[in-house]
Amino acid sequence: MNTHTRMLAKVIAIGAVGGLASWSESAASGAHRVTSEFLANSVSSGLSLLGMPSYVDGSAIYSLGYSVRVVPECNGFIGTSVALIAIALLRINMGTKLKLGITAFLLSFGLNAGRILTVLMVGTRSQRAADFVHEVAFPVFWFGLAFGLWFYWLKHEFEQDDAERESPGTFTQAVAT
Amino acid sequence: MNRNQYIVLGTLAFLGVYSGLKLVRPTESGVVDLQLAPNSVPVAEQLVGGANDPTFNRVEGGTPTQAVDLTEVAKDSQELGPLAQFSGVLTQGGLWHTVDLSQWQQVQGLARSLEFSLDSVGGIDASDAEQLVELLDRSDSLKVKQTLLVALGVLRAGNPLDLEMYLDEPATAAAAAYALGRRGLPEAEFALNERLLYADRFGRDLTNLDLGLASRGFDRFGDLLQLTRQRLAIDWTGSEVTPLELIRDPRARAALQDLVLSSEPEALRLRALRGWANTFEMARAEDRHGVDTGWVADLALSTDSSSDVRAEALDVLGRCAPEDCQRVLERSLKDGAPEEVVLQVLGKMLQLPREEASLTFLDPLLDSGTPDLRREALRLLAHTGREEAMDMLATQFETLDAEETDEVLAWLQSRAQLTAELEYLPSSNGVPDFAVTDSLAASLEASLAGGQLTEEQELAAMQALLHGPRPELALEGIEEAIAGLDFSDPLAVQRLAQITPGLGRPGEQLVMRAYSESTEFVSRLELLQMLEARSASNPEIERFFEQTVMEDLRGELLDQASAPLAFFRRGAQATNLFGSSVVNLFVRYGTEQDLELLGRLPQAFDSQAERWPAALRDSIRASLEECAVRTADLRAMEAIG
Repeated sequence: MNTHTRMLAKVIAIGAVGGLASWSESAASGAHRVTSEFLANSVSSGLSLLGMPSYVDGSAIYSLGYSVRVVPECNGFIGTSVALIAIALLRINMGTKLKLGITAFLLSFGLNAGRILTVLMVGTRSQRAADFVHEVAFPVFWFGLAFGLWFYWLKHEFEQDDAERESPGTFTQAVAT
Repeated sequence: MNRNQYIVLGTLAFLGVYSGLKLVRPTESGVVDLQLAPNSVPVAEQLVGGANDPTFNRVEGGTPTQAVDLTEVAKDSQELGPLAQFSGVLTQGGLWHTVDLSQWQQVQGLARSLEFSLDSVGGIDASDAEQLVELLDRSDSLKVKQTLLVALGVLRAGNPLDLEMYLDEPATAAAAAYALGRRGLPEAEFALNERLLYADRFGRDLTNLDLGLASRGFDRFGDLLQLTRQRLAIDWTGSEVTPLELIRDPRARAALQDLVLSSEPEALRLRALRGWANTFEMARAEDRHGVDTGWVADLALSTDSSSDVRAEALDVLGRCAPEDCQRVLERSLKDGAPEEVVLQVLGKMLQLPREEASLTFLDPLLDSGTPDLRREALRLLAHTGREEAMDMLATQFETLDAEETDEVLAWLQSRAQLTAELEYLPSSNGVPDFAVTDSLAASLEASLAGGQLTEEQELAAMQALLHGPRPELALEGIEEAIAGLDFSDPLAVQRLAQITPGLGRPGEQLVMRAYSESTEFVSRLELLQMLEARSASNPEIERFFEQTVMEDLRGELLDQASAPLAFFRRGAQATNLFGSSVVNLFVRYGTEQDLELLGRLPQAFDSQAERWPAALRDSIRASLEECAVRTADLRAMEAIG
C-alpha cells in the first residue's frame, strides 16, 4: 500500500466516522446539550471579560439587543469527536496522541467560542452585519482555511513522496520520529 | 510542521467546514431571533385602545380594532370587591405592565378604556375615590400610582391638592395632568398652568401637561385654541402635539369641523382634524351614529387641499369611517390618481365592516392592477374576513404566483390567529368575523393536496382552515404536524408559539406540556404569556399556574434575575415581559414569603451583573425593584376588596 492509498484510506475512515457520528446525533442529544451549554457559558464569560452584559439561558446567550442560541449543529461536538477519533487512529505514541488530542479539543472549542462571540458582538451593533458575518464571512473563512490547509498538506505529501522516491526509507524514518 | 500536525490542522479545518456547512442552512441557523408569541402584542394593545396608535395601524398582519370593554374581563370575578376586581383586571394578561404610563399617548389609551368601562368594573365610582387616594399615597409602585391617577381622572375625583405633587415627578406627570384636567376645579387649573409655565420657561416637553389642559374638555375650547395658536406661532412646522389635537370631548366636534373647513392656516387645520378624529372616537356608538363623515372624504379628494391635508384626512377616514375610503378609492381610480395615492387609500381600508357594500370595486385592481396594487387588494381581502372577500380570494387563488401565495397564506393565518385569540377577549367589537368559505376552503385544500406548499405554508393554510367548513380535518393536520415536537428543543417551543394562537383547548394542553419539557427560562416565560389570557376561562390553567409554575418560579427566580436582559431589545413593551408574568402570578398566587423573595431579586441581580455597564444595570435593577413593589401594591389593593 503506497502513501497515497494510505492517505486516501485515512480520509475515507475519517469521513465514515463523521457519518457515523452524524447518524448517531440524536443518540447524543445529552452530550450536545452539555456541550452547547458549556459553550454558551464560556462565551458569556468572554463577553463579561470584555465588559459586555450577557445572560445565559440554557444554550441561548443574550446580550444587548441580540441573542444567539448554540444549536447542536454548531456546538462543535461532532467535529471535535471526529478530530479526536482521527488522532486516535494515527500511528504515533500515546503521549503525542494525548498532546495532539488536547490541543485539537482546545483549538476547536476556542475557535468555535470565538466565532460565536464575534457574531454576538457584531450583532449587538448591527443585526445585518452579524448575519453577514455568520452566513458569509465565517463560512468563507472556514472553507478557505480547510481547502488551504488540505491543499498545503497534499502538496507537502506529494513533495515528500517525490523525495521518498528519490531516497527510499525517508517515510519510515519520518514516522518513527 | 510534520505530517501529524498537518493531519490535525486538516482535521480541524474539516471541523470548521462541517460547522460552516451546517450553519449556512437557514432553517438550522445557530442565530435565533426570538420573537414574542404571534399576536400577543397586537391583541393586548387593543385592550387599551392601541388601535388608535398610528404605529399599531401600520403593523403588518395586525387588524386595527376598537378598544375592548374591560367590564367583560372582570365578569368572572363578581364576588370580589371593586378594588380587588380592578386589580384582577390589571393583572389579566401582560398588557398593563407593558404600557409606559409616563407618556401621554399611553395615558390617553388607558383613560379611553377606563372612561368606557371603569364604572362597570367592579362598580368603582366616585365614592371609592377616598380609597383610591389613600392607595395612591401608600403605593411605592410607579405603575400603580399612574393607574390610580388615571382612574381618579376618569371618576373626576380627588382633591387637587392631593394630586398636584405628582405633576412634579416626570413619570407621573402625564397621569396627574389628566387627573387634574378632568377634575376641572380652579385649584387644579392653577396647578396645571403653573407647571406649564415652568416647563415652558425651562424648555421641557409640554405635551404630557397639555393632556391635562385638553382633558378640561369643551368648556375650555377657546383656551385650547388660543394656546395652540401660540404654540404654532413659535414652532410652526414642528411635529410636537398641540393641545387642540388632544381634546377628546365629543361636544367639541362641530367646532373642530368648522376650524378644519375654515381659512385658518393649514397647520391649525391639520391639528383640528386630528382633534376631530379623537372626539369622534371618544363618542359612544350611539353618539357617532348619523355623524357626517362625508366632509372628511371630500377633503381627502379635494384637489384644492394640500397633500398634507389630504393625507391627514385619509388617515382620519381610515380610523373613523373606513367605509368612506371606498368612495375615495373609487373616485381616485376613476380620476386616474397616482398609484401611491391609491395604495395609501387601500392601506386605510383594513377595517371595512362586515355589512359594508360589495367589494367588487377591487376587481379592476385584482385583474389588471400593477403588482403593488394587486398585492394591496389581496391583503385587503384577506384582512377583511368577509364571505364575499373569501370567495373573491378563492377565484384568485389559482392565479397567485409563489410570492403572492406565501403572502396570502400568511395574511390568512394572521387573521385566523387574531380571530381565535379574540375569543378569549370578550367584546372585541370592531373586528369583523372571519370564516373561510367553501370555495376558499376547497382552494386551500387543493393546494395542500398538491404538495406544492412549504411546511410553513401548509401550517398557515391549516390554521386558516380551522375557520372553514371542515375544521376537524385541519385540526387533525395540525396535530399531526406537532405530534413529534420535542419541547426540550427550544426551536420546537418557538414552532409551537407559531401554532398555538388559533388552537383552542388542544393548544392550551400543548403549551402546558411544552412548559414542563422546556429547558429554557425565557421560553417558559413566553409560554406562560400565551396561557395568561386564557387562564380565566380554564380552571386547569389556574391549577397549573398555582401548583407547577409558582413552585418553579420560587425555585429558580433568583438565579434568573438577569433574565430581563433577554427582552431588552424589544423596547419598553417587552422589557417588562419578565416583570409582567412574575407580578401577575405572584399577585394572584403568592404568599408573604414570596414578597420577600421578590424583594431579594435586585440583590441577586447585582451579583449576576457586576460587570455590566452601570446605566443598563441601574435600569434593570429599577425594573426589578418596581416588580417587587408593584406586586405588594396590587396585593394591598386586592386586600381592600
